[in-house]
Amino acid sequence: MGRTAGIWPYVCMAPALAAFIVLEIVPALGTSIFSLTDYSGLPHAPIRWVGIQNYIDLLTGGQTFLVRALQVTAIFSLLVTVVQNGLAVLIAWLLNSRLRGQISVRALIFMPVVLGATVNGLTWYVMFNPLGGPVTLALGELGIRANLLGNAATALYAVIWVQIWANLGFSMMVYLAGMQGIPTEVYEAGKIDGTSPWSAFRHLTIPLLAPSITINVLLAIIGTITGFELIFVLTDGGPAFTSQTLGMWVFNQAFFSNNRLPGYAASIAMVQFVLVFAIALVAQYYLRRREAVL
Amino acid sequence: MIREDEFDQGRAAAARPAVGIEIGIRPGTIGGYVILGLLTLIYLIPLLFVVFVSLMSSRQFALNAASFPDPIMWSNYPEAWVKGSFNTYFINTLVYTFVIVFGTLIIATLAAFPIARRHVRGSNFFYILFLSGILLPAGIIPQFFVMQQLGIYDTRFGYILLWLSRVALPIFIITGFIKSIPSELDDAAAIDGCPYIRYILQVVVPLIQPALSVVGLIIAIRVWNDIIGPVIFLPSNSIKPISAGLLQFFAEFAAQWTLIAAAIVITASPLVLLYIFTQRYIIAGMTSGALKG
Repeated sequence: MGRTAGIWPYVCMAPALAAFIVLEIVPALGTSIFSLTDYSGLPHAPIRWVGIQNYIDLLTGGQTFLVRALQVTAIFSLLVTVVQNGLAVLIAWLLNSRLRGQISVRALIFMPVVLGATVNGLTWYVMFNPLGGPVTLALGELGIRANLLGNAATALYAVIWVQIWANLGFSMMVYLAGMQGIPTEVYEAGKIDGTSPWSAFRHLTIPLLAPSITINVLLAIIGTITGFELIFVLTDGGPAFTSQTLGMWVFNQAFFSNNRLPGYAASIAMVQFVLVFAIALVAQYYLRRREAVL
Repeated sequence: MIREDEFDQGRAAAARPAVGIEIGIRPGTIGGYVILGLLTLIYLIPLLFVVFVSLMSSRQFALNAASFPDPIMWSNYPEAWVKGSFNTYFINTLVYTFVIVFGTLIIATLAAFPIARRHVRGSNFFYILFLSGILLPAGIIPQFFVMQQLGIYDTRFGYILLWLSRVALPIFIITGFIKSIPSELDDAAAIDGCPYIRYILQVVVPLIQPALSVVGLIIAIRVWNDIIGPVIFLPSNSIKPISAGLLQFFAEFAAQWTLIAAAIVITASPLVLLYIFTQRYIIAGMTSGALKG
């Protein structure tokens, strides 16, 4: 059929290819080029080459911002990745059983993945609200007066909590799928040897789950360094930039700060890109090697 | 050897007929239920609280928010709907969702078929090119520039086009699915002189419908939930979709928590309904990228 179809296969591929190249590939690669300009985002302002000036600014004038954004990103990424995956494995283990009602609990935990960042974020905004939010009331009972999202010391951790709450269901489902792929015979053998449930989990389930762990950890790392929807809805990086990750900073610097500089923001995006790439590469290498050993 | 294995397996299965996969991994049952209950509370309380607040009078919310709504203020819903111009947002989102889902499915299928069947030179190259789109970070700054230059910034058309460019994952899934169906039909169609595009749309599309439904569902949910896209590329309120409209409402009516809660429920309820009826497909679709990766 291909030979008789002539030019038609190319015609069919053209619309997807055109949209994909113009608005996906070229922009993805174009960030590096814009990072070398003073692009202002204004429609008719000229764009000039400034060489590596943006990077110099980032390392000199923007140094404190850069260090802080890197710190916030590190805390956000590390805590979310570790806690979310740890909890997801344990909960998947618990739910991969015959406990009554576990199917409904699975569906409930996955629900925020469907509801999306705006609904999840605002739901927790209402929960955290300093006037009568249940979290505030509960903490008040314990004698703690707290405005979790408005306090520089706690905002980042409140966001981390919501991020984990919102994405736990996704990791859990991937782990559940992985666990269901483990042949029953493996556990039968363990049972005959008199293995305890915990040790079966530790020495059989976890090693055999290595591919799921690799993909989940990678997705969490990439998602937390690049994604910022929930942060945007909950704090917009505040207060005083204490919850501003690199991704959030790029967005604010490019489009919403008083002093918006998309060219400069592009240089931050490049730092972010290199970071994601390097960490993903190292993590992948380490996790895959572990898979092979096991 | 083989017979011994079979025998052992058979004996083990006979000894514990109905235990299945939980053998050896069953935690203490009571502890299990406690954790299950705790999880249910952690996930249900925020969602129920928002529903309760959406039905409270603002006076009750100020006095004692953590209580059952009394009297029940149904009027919060029409009030939020009108004040927040949710009419506009709802229609906008329906239009965006419909056009983007069907547009993406059509262009992705048209591209996936020649790639899957190697009807184009360098089909492998194109496959990997599209695949790279799953991994590449979105270049929001150049996207902004390109859309401004093309005169489609802050237009419905521009936003739809932006979404149509996100064909990487759809093409990846659809190509995989097409490869799994035999190509004998293609040859028969070629002999009959069936035009290429008509063949794809009339013969291939019905065959890959399961994949298309799942992909369509996932795109619909993502469009419904998109927040960064509209905030950057659709600053005009009149063409905003619903998630951005909800955030706009939240900014305008700050501190009117009962109305905000009603607006959250308005935005979330179509998704909750969709989720209740198509749960299995949604979960399979959303995790499929991870499972195949």
